[in-house]
Amino acid sequence: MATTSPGQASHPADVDPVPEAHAPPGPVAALGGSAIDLFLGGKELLSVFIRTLYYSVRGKREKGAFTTQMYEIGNKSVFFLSITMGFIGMILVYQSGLQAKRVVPDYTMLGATYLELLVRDFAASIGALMLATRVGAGIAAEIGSMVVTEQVDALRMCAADPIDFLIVPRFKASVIMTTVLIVWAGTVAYLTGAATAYVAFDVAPQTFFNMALIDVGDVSVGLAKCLAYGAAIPVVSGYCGLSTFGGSEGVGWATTRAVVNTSLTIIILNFFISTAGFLIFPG
Amino acid sequence: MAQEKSIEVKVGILILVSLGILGAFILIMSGLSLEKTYTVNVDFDNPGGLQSGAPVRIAGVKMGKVEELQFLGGKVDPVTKRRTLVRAKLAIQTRAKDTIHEDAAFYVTTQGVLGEQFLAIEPGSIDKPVLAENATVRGIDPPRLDLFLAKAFELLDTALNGIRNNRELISDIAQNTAGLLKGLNILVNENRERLNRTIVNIETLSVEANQLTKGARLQYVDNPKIAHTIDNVDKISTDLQRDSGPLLKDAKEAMANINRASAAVGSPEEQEKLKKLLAEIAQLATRANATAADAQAIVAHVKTGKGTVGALVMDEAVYDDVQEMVRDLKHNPWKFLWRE
Repeated sequence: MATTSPGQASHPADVDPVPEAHAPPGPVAALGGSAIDLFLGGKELLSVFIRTLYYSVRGKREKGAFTTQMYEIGNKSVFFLSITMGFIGMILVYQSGLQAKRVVPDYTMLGATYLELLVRDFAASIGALMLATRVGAGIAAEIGSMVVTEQVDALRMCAADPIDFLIVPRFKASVIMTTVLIVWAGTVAYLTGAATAYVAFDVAPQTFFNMALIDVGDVSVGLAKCLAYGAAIPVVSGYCGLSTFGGSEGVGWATTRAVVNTSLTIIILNFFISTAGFLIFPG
Repeated sequence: MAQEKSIEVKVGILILVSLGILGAFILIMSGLSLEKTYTVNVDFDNPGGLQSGAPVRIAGVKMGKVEELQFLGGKVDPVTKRRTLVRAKLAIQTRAKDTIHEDAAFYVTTQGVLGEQFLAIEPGSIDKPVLAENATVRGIDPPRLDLFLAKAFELLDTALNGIRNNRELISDIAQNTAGLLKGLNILVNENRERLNRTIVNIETLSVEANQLTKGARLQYVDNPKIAHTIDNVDKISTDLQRDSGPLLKDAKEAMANINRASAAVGSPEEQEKLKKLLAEIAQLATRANATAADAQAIVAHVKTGKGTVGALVMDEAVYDDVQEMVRDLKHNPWKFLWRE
């Protein structure tokens, strides 16, 4: 910024213009900047995803990493997921039963509609959101701390792509174990729902276990969601971990961003897959 | 190493459990059943909310499922010769085959008030044959509540508009009707006795008319004579028809003869002779009449017992005298010769 010397007449024309980079951005500029950031972020995410897919087919296989990740993502989440989905199942059935009681006291279809909802949407979406909080945060924190401690740079120096080395085993393990966990969690939610229906509304388990409303479309949509969420959680979380900067504070932010972005991705994917499901399997 | 093995086992167990649950779920969903089934096709115009996979129940017990719902679009089926919109293909357990007869009713109904829709079968009467495998029957369409509501709404709307637009007219009609009913009530009360009598009379009349009808029926419908007469008429008409040919021929010949005769008597002399002859015949007839009148007078005279012949014929005393004389002569023939 130029300064005027004392004694000289100050004139607006003589004042150097303030550089735009140092001025606070206006609302339009802020909007444009956010859009560019979002676009660049999306591009990076897409790049990570494509490279993950590529290395999943062509990459080197590190012995034991895949199994370890399956254990970390799958087995270690069973308890957490069983508890959360069990309670969610109870709450859903209890609330549905209360609403049904207001309209017409007929619970014959409570189990069938609940099962359809669970298979088509809730088991996958709620289970994946729960997994995102646990697995996504874990992946982002692990990779983020490796980034800030320059271990990732060391990998690059050894000509090992961090995506192949860090994200691909988690990706493969997550795709399989998310599906496995959601099947398990859905079963738990259904059983706790049946117990709630029996205790709260006297609905016999034989009446509750009604699969009349389930068709191939419901199962296909449910399984498609499992695979999509299983792929999205490690890719988004890994990307957040790899884009960590700064010290331990950066790792914290990376973890937060990983949970938020993974949840957001799951919700958006849910919307698109559900829409496609209703178009392909109407009714 | 041992820890790695332990991890692998745990992961494997979790995957196996999950795959087991998923496999069992898909098997149950696809309706895996060890029971043998047979197929029956049911045609509907509108099966409502019935979907493939819906249960088929007999007397409330699940005995099969709707395997497929086909949209035939109103094409004429070559087997049933019927236009069919939707065909439901049912897979029914073979053990229920003997229960379902040819007059069985297939209808779509709902479990509970808002429950799932299923196909119910009323088995039909046992004296009918059992419904064959792959048979195609007509189903009973579920009641269209939506259609009913739409029509009821239209009806109510029209009625409401009609009432709104003709409020004064309706009020007048109501008043007039009330007045009419009041007047009718008074009339009935005042003439109750007469009305009762009239009703009794009408009843009597109806009884008599009934009897009359019965009598007329006996006399003119069920009477064997009528049938006999009809038979005779029929016979006569048959005979006439048969004989009309020869009769016509004879008639034609007779006409020809008459023509010839008329031609023969056509001359003036012949006609004069005929006239004379007719005049003579008329005179002869007049005389004959007079003779007959005389004879009638004589007979009348005799009948009254006048004259010798009359006394002889009509008077019993003369008869008795003659009889006694004959008897006396029989016993005493000497009286012919000797008078006492």
